[in-house]
Amino acid sequence: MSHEHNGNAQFEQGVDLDVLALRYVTNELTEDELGAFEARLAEDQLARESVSRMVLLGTAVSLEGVSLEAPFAEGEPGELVASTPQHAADSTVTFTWFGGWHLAAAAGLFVAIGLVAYLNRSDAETTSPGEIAGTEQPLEDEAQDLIASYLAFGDLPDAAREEAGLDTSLDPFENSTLEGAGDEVTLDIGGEAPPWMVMALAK
Amino acid sequence: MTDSKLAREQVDALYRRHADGVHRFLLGVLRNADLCDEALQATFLQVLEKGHTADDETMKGWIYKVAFNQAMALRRRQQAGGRVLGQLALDPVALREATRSDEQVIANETLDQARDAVRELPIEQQEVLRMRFTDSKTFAQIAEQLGVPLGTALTRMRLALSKLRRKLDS
Repeated sequence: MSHEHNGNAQFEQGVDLDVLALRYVTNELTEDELGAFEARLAEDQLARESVSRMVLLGTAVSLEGVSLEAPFAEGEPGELVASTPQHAADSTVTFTWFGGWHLAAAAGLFVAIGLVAYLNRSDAETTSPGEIAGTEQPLEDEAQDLIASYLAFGDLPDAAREEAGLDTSLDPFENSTLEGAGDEVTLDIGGEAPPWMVMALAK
Repeated sequence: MTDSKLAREQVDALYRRHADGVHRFLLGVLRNADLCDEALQATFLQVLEKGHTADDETMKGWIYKVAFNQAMALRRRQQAGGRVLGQLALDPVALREATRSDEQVIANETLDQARDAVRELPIEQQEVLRMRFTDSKTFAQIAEQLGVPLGTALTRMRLALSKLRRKLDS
C-alpha cells in the first residue's frame, strides 16, 4: 500500500517535472525559474530527460498537427494524404493548408501550365528567343483561364486534376485522402499558403 | 571505468543508443537545430576522449551532462557574439526540420510511439497540446479560444502529459 502510494507520488512528481520542462521549452519560465531550472539541468538527469521528452512530444504534436484538427469546414486547415509508392514505408511528411484540397488544385494548375509549355516546345526542335517570346501569350492565356476557374469555383477543371494524378471524385472540403498502392505520406506546410501559390493567384 | 579510451565501436554503440535523446535535449536547451548538431558532435567527441572515465551505470547521465555543458558553452560563445539564444520558444517548424529522419530505426520508433500516444489522447487534450506547441498560444489564449476556464486548459495539459508519460514509460 505504502509502496504503491510512494510510486504514485513519484509519478506525480515526474508529471510536475514534465510541466516545468514544457514551460522551459516553450519559454514560459520567469527569469528566476529559468535560472533555477537550468541549475537543476546541470545536476538532475531526470530533468534533462524530461526536457528531451517534451521536445519529443512537441515534435510528435507538430507532425500530428493535421490529424488533430476536428472535421474542418471550408477554408480551415485540413489534411491531404497522398500515396507515393516511391517513398520508403516509414517516411511521412505532413502538409497542412486551407482545406488541403487547394494543394491538389495548385498541383493541377502547375501541371497544366507545364503541359502547355511542353506542347508549345515540341513544335520545333530548336527555338529562337523570338519564338519563345511568341509562346508567352498562349501560356499566359492558359494560366489565366485556370486561375479564373480556380478563383471562380475554388477548384480546377477535372482534366487538370486528372493530369495531376488526383482523384476527381473526392469532396474538396472533406479530409481528402487519395488511396492507392504504396506508402502513405502526409504533407504539412504549416497552415499557410506557400508564397509561390500566393504569387500565382495574385496575378 | 577503464584507463584507456573507449573503442570507436563502443562510442558508435553509445551514439546509436543515446544520440537521438541527447539531440532532443539539446534542442530544448538551444532551440536552434544547427547549434544542436554542433553541440551533439562536441558531446560525442568528449565521449570518445573521456567516456572511459564514466561508469557504465551512469554513462547515460554523464553523456547528457556533457551535452548540457557543451550547450551552455556554445550559448555563452553565441551571446558573447551578440546572439541571444535560449530566450525563444521552440518553433514547430524547427521541430519538424530538426527531426532526424535519417537516424537509426530506434529513433523513429520513439517518435512513432509518441505520435501514437498523442493520437490516443482525448480530442480536447490533443487540442490543448496542438494549440500550445504548434500555434504557440499561451494557456490564457487557449482557454479563451476553447471557451473554458484557465484551470480546465491547464488540467487538460497536465492530464495529457500524465498519460503520455505512462504510455512512453510502458
